[in-house]
Amino acid sequence: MNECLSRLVHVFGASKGNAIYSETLERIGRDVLDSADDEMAFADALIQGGGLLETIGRSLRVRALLRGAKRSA
Amino acid sequence: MLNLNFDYDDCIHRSERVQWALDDVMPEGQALDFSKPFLPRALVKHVGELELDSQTALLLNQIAGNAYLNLFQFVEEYILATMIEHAQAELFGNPSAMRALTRMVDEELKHQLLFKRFRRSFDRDFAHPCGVLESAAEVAQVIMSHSPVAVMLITLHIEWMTQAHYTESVRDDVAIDPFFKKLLHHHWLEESQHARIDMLELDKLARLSTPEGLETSVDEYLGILDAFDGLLEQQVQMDLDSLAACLGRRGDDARIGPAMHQSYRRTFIWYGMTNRKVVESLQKLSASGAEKVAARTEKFA
Repeated sequence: MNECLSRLVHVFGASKGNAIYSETLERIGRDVLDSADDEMAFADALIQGGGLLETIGRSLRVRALLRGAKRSA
Repeated sequence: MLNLNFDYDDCIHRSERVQWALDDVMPEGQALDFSKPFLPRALVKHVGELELDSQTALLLNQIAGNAYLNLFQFVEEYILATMIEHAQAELFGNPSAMRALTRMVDEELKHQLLFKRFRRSFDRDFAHPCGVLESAAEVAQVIMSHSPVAVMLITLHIEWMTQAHYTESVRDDVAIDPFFKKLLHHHWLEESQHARIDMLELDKLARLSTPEGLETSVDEYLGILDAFDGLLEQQVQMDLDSLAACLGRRGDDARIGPAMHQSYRRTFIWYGMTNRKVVESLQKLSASGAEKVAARTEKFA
């Protein structure tokens, strides 16, 4: 399980976490997350959701930046 | 990549065993004793070789001791900001990593407060005001504008350097002021966990980097050291002014200035670059990068 999915499942449980993960992947036009830039795009999409999704997204955004994602991604 | 034989839980357990309270180590307003040197000879090596008269040598040692603690307070500004970022990146992730990182943040903040308390007592009790570097936030901004791997490399350098200062020079020195030694002892106790946490964080970042990215990060690390060297030079000028104020005349600036600068270089740059743990980490990350670092050490010895 990748880190983005793992966090969503940790917070929302397996069913809802997987659903949010799939919906967010679709929104950013990716099938998988295989780079720090992908994780950044995923995090930014979560941030748009507001509330707890935004909190998780902000954490994943910092994680992506620390792993070398470009800020413009 | 770094083949570490410890984890975040080990760091938490060690941290819990050695934790201390700020007021127990240095109550606000603590009086300082200026009858003994603050720094061991090894940390003012080149100044010690000048064979200055005893009054000048003692004043200079205490001026350098105050600057030494301020420099730690200074660099901990960016370490604090970096570790908050690393902790935030672990939210809802690895709880052990988050605990270790947030404990580190708390401890670094405590160290900053400890060194600020010392400075207030020093400013109150020393013969004359002494200038120290003040632009910690600006320096933090510059350091943190580099790649995350480079930022972790310089952090690793500082944490292992601190270990070396204490274990190799401070711990067994019976000539230095016991209270100053006690401050360094408590700083060292917690920094030893921080050095391990830095290695765990560096390992995480390095695994996702490329060989080219790692080599570039080593170049950035060397660039940060050069910039830091410039700050040390500024500190030397302030130290010479402080000494002149204490003596009521200019000291032998032409001899003392370069010796002071080289002592600071050795203490803050050379000790970190040549530390066994730092060297081993660099070799695992980038063999060519490690060679570049090794080639630069002599300038700072």
